[in-house]
Amino acid sequence: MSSRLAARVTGKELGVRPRNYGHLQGLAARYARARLDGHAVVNRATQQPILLDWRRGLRKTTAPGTAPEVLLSLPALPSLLANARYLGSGEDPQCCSDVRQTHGFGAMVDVIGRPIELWLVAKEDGRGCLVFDRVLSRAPLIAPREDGGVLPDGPGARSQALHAVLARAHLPPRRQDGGEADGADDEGEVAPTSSDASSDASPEQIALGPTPMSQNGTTGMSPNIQPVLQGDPCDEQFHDDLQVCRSLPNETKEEVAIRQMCWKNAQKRYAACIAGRRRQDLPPLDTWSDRTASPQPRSMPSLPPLIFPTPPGQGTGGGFGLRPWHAIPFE
Amino acid sequence: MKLRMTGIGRVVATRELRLSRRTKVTVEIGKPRKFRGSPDYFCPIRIRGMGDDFLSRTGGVDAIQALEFALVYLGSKLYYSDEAKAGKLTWDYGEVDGDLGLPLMEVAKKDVLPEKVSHIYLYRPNPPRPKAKRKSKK
Repeated sequence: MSSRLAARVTGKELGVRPRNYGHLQGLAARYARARLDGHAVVNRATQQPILLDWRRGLRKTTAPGTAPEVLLSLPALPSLLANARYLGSGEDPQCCSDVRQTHGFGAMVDVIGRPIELWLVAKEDGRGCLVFDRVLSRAPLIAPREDGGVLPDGPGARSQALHAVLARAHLPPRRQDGGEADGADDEGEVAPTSSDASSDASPEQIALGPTPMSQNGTTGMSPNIQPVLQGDPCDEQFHDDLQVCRSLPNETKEEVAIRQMCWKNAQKRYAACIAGRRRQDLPPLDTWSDRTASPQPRSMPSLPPLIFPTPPGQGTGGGFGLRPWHAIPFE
Repeated sequence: MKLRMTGIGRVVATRELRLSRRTKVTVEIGKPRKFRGSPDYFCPIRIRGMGDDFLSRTGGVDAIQALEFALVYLGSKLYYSDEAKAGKLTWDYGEVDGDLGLPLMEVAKKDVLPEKVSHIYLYRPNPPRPKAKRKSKK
């Protein structure tokens, strides 16, 4: 099991701090519908595009009952899919006629300071396209009852887990020392700092943040590494807002308008924060609009046919010729 | 820890403020650059002379907006610095004491700023929307 982080989640990616589990679920569903639906992400391990579709996977992932850590990780889904390692393929357990095979991916995500292993499932349809299906959390955040916690299915258990997760969001920002375990050295976030400044720096040394989802969906939307800020919480919030604004889609005219409004609101929030306003009194960060959240999913982009590289001696069946589905350690 | 943001690149604008007779504060704005893999732009900022050097950046949908927000960000940052609140931070060309010649968000101005700073450049990010016309009943 590799400890390489595919993404890091701070709990602020959904725009506002969720009040309870139901609120979080609503936020995640709205985010998925407005920001993820219709996009495609290329998995680096397999070089195959994976389509994100509301009806065929995102709705299931954001349905009530989903683990809080999965809902919080949803904005990082493109990055997770892009950086996930391939586990294997197998027959569809549900035996759907339009599903040729099911493929499993594994990715490690840091949810507010706690690394969690997630399994991502994508289904290969009849046309050979991979479509994201669901996310499974391997390690629930709720402690077992014998450890002083409540069972995952107990009453209020998910809200309790959410509060436990969000409580960590108020911890002081961790300082990173030494090498990054995220493996995002080439496009990782750069931490604005009060030191290490030099006047003769070349333009190449300027901070370049992580790559949000591009039009062709080749990279993840959420940041791989969050900026490490020292000191001012307003600056920390401002840079979090910048990450959110950068990750907004930029396709339609309305989305561009929202993106521009997001940049403005980030400044407004920073000014209000630094003027001493309480966090809950800050103006909201506009990241979506009722006008852009279309009730119908967008038309799917035309994807190239899926051609699985088959290692020599492995035959032609079985997708990538790796482990069969039953060998994937899904409990 | 070695951080990769070690400078702001090419400086396109500079302002010198005064902290005392001998101490100068230099504010620098770097050339706006495009985010990698994104259509947006960012504008690096550096403040020197107020403790450790401070580096940050702002963003916008294009280079001009990133530059514009860099000025607004600097206004918020500097007007609300401890030095400015104490009345130590000045600009030689300011119209009144404490005027740093930087724009400031309206949301911030009405809260804390001292009343003597009357000639600041107010920046209203969101223009008021025109009132919707009432439909006349025919």
